[in-house]
Parts: sequence; structure tokens; C-alpha cells
Amino acid sequence: MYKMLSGKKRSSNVRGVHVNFFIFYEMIKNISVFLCMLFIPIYGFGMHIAEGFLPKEWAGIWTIIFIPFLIIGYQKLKKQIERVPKTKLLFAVVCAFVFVLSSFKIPSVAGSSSHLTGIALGAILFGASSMSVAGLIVLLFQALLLAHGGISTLGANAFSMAVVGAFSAVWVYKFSRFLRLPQGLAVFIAAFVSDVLIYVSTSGQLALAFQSSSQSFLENMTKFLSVFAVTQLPLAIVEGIFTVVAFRMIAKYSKQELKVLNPSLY
Amino acid sequence: MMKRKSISILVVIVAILVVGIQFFLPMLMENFKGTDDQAVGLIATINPDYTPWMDHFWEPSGEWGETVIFAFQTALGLGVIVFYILKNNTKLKSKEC
Repeated sequence: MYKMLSGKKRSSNVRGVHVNFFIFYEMIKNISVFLCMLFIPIYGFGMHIAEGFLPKEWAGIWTIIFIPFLIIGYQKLKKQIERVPKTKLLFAVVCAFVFVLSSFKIPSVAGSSSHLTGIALGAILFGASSMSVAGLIVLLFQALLLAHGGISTLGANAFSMAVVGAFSAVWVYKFSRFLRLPQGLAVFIAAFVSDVLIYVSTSGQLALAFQSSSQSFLENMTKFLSVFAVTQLPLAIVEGIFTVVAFRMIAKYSKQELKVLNPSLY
Repeated sequence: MMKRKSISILVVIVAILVVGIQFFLPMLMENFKGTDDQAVGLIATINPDYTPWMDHFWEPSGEWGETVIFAFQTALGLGVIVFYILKNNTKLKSKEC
């Protein structure tokens, strides 16, 4: 753009046409990417328990259960960043990954639609407990600005996403590596299982809250699982792929930081 | 230079495809309910007497309110990721030099 506007003469007409085409091309590319960012989340449905749809006592219980994980996660994250200051940007990238993935509403072959989670990546890199902070940030953002999920259900949603999702990702990853599976495959399986278990956990929370004399926990669990888990299975495959791509990118760019932060990755 | 150009072409094609697909999605997804809406419906079936005890503090207004905020969420995330990639690309290139 600068060269075009500076009025510099070209040595030949062919070279001038080539440069102007490249500049025009870059402009179209940038505008396309911007439009892409604007139009991707054209539908925004949450993946969480909606505001007020968990009875008060259960909302309180899940909040109390989540708080210790948040405290431990925050302390661990603080120590990690103090030990390796460059991981601040890495943590921001991990949160950004959760932000981006959780904003995509993707149709499923099951005939409904749902969201990805993105929590497995950060769990594998930083450890499971640190993801309680990332999960809370994303859920708070969506509850306050998008009316998805809710403040009353924050504890329950955070427990499902940032505790069940994160810990399951780490355990499945470590078990896969123990079985000597390739790292990419281990990351894929971890992300897949984590994604599915988040929704299994949500189903369990709802099943527990709405059980009665006429509706047992297992009956409710089956009903809620038929809504969440069946939709999520094909989406979990997509999440696995995205997570592997992101993991490879971060492993390439932040090798030195990760070797100090999480030596088991190498 | 050629590899960068190929990647740029791919980015343009993917971006145009995504924008194009999103315009057709309303037709494809007319009956595709979100899972949280389905869950709310299921709660009403299991426990018809249950009423939510709390409402959202604020909800985006208008047809495009939610879309814009979701776009902001995506843009925020993508901005951080792009910044990270560019910063590390520069670092890698300076190491190679």
C-alpha cells in the first residue's frame, strides 16, 4: 500500500502490475478474514446450563465444589508464570483458543447444534487445575455479555468445563502416552474424550437436580445424555482436530518455555 | 514467497467459503436447535412446574446484538492467536538469520 501511494516508478510495466495485484490481493485477503471473523458466530447458542435452570440448592452446591479448584488453579498458575514469565502470552493464547472454539456453533449430524470447548489444549500444556481460571474467564464473559450460561449456574458450568473437562484431558493424554501412542494421537483422543465428558457431566448435574420420586437419576441421565452427548460425539472429532493443530503450533513456537513449564511433553 | 502466496490464497478461499456457508446455514439449520434449548425443553417435560429463579442481568438486544458480541469474542481470541503467531514468526526468522 505504501509503495503504491508513494508514487515510486516501476522498472517495468509487468513488475508494476504484479506489485499492484499483490497489494489488491492482500487487501481482499484482510477484508475476507475480517468478514470471516464477523460472520462465523452468526448463531450463538450456549453449551451450558442456562441462567436459573438449576435449583438454588444445587447451584450453591456446585459453586462450593468449584471454588477450591479455582483457588488451587489460580495459585498454581501464578507460580508457573512467576517461574517462566514468557508463559503469560502462552496462557493468553490458551484462553484465546477457548474463546474462539466456544464461540463456534456447529451443526451436528444428530440434527441439532452445539459448541466446542477448547479446554483440553490448555490442560495438557499447563495442567488441569490452571484451566479453572481460563474456564471461569470464558464462562463469565458469556454469562455477562451474551446471556449464555448464567451467574447462578457458573459454578456448575465451570465444574463441568474446567474441572471434569480439564482433568479428563490430562489423564487421557498421560494414559495414551503411557501406551506409547504418538503425541498427536494422544492429544486428539484427550480432546475428544474431554469434550464428550464435559457434556456427560452437564447431563449428570441436570439429572441430579431434577430427580424425583417419579424420575430417577438414571432415567433423567439417559434423557439428558440423549440430548447432549449424541450431538457432541461428531463435534468432539472436530475439536480433536483443532486441538492437535493448535498443540503442534504451540509446541513449535514455544518449545523453550514448554520444556521448562511441562518437561513431560518432550 | 511462493509458500506465503499459497497460504494467502488458501486463507482467502477459506474465508470466502466460511462467509458463504454462513449465509446458507439458516436454510440448512432451520430445524437445528441448540442443545441448551433442547435441555431447557427437556427440563420442562421432566418437571413442568419448575420455573427459573433467576434471569440474565443483561441480554444483547436486536437481531444482530448476539452476533456482534459473538463476533467480538471470536475476534478477541483470533487477535491474540495472530499476535502470538506473528511474534514467534519474527523470533524464528531472526534466529535463522
